Amino acid sequence: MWDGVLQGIFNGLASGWIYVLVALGLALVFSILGILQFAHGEIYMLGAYVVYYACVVGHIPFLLALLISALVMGVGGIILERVMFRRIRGEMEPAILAAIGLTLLFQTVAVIAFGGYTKFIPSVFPGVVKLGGVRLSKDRLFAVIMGLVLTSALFLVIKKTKVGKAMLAVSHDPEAAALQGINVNRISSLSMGIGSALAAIAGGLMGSILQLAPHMGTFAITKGIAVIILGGIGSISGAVLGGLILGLVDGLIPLYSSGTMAAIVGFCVIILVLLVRPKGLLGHD
Amino acid sequence: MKKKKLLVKVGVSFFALTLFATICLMGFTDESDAKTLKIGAVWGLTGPGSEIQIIMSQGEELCRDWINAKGGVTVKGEKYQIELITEDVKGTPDGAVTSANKLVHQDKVKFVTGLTVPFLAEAVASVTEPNKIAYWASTFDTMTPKNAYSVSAYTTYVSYKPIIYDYLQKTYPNLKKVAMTEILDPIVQRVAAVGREEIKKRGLTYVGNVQYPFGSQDYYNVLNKVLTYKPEILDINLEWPGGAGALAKQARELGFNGPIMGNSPWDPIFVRDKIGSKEYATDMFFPSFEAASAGADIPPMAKTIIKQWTDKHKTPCIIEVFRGWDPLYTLVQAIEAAQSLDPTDVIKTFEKMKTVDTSQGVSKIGGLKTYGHNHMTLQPCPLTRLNKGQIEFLGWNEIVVP
Repeated sequence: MWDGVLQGIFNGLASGWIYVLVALGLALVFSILGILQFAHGEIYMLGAYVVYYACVVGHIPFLLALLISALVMGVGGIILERVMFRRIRGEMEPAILAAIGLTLLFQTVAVIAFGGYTKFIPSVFPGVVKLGGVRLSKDRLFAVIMGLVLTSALFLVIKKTKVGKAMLAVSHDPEAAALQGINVNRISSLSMGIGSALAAIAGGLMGSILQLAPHMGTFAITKGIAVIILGGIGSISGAVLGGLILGLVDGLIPLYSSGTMAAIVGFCVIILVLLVRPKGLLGHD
Repeated sequence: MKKKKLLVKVGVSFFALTLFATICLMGFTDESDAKTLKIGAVWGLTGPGSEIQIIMSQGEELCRDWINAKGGVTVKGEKYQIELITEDVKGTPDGAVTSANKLVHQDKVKFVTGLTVPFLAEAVASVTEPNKIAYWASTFDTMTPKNAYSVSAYTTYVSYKPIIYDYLQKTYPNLKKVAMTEILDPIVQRVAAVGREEIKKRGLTYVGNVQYPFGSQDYYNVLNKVLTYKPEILDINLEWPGGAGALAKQARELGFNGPIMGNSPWDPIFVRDKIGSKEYATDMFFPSFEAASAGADIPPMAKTIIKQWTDKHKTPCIIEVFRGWDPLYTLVQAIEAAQSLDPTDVIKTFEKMKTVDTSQGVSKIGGLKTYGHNHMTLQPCPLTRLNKGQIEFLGWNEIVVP
């Protein structure tokens, strides 16, 4: 049983990092644009399909396919921000409606363009890594490493670069930031682009571990929203903590109960945290 | 002048008569023109499992084309070309009911075919039964005596269990401890329950099971728990092909090296490719076959289907094609045996038939003691094994369903 617990912890942390990748983009978009981008799950899904067609059909190396997907979806995110979300920045209800509309549109387009049936990206790193009694597939380990690298990179950009500081300023007070000479529109576009690129990478990684289907974004957005609510809406470090906590719940609870109970426990954890800290674990005003 | 007026009158009258005669004759058809028989088809073309249901739907269309090319369905000297009206149930019971309602009440079909998932078949039957519409499901494991108008055109999932456990005991006589994974679905649990009876009957040890929601993709946590039971054999029961491949792959990644057995006729090529490595795609067996590995053991009808499919689609013909073919193929045989387009006559005739031709050879009809009526088609059961990435055909086995 102890081996099972250790394996459960490893499984959970590995899953958690995938949740973090999805939630990071969502948190970034919310903190800068002030909207909960429900179509983020479909960006994740479309990103996965770009990787599939680049890698499986186009025979492009997987890492390059990930980069292409990130660029394509990043540009797509910028266009979405420019054409749609900029007009409703900071307005929750119109943004939700717009995002839901986008979700339906993207899912339908995906079914028509890619077919309704599941596809899969062949394993990029076959085999497992053994650490004592614990085993982790190399694909999942790669996803964890990518999650760590991208999260660290995002932290560095926000803390150390001029653009990052501008993002922080806009997230705190867009009007004050504008008065300081920061181009708020440009920062919004950039945030949306980065958020979409992160979602695309998460989608591509999950597509290589699991399967691709037009409805795969539903799982991503559900987890993503749960993570950012737990961690604190708008908080990047909160998204990391929230993702890892929910990942551990998903990895350990099934050992003693079931997968369904893991989902229930996850939501109970969120509710308990919100009762004590309404802004989430690391949320701020 | 008078002559000219007369000529005009005659001309106009002739034209009017010709037009009138033409309109009247449009209501008549040439005796050699075939009539149309509308048959409804329900498949999950989107949603979970759509990857195989799309192929089943295409298999049914192939059957329609083959029957129509041979002249269609003959009833009392009249020939009927089949018009297939296909609806997408979207993988949900609501979708199945909506599709069935549309076919029955809007399209006015008397026969419906399709679906291989019992809870979806039940949803369709909830519409077809009260309207006395004959429903030929691909697989309908959960039929009861109340399903007077429903037929299962392909062997039921529970029927495979004894054959699979026979092979297990023969091939791995020293392995005793069996664990199961099961989707949270009544039919899967019913199949698993039959499996537990087989385990008990054969003196094997049942060490435990883990259930998980339908549509899952990541099985690490499920398998992590199952492997704490230290099984020697893993029975993954029913799953979609993608899920079966993912379960097998993830079980191997987590260190399980024993035999993995399944209960669904998955396409061996798809499962093997989903698993990925030769090292992992081994010691896995399930009731299916694949043309190249089955070779000379393929029944004549299956050879015909394989040739038609590969000529049309230019892709390998997999077992899902046959599962789509058989509902329409067996329905047409029942209609021609009854020499009637009345669903009641057709059903009554079918349940008196002893055998029917199917994609996998001559198949018995049975199920009276188990299901309350003889509405089960019992195709011979193929068995296939993945062995170090190779697909091995293990032969045909007779199904017995009392």
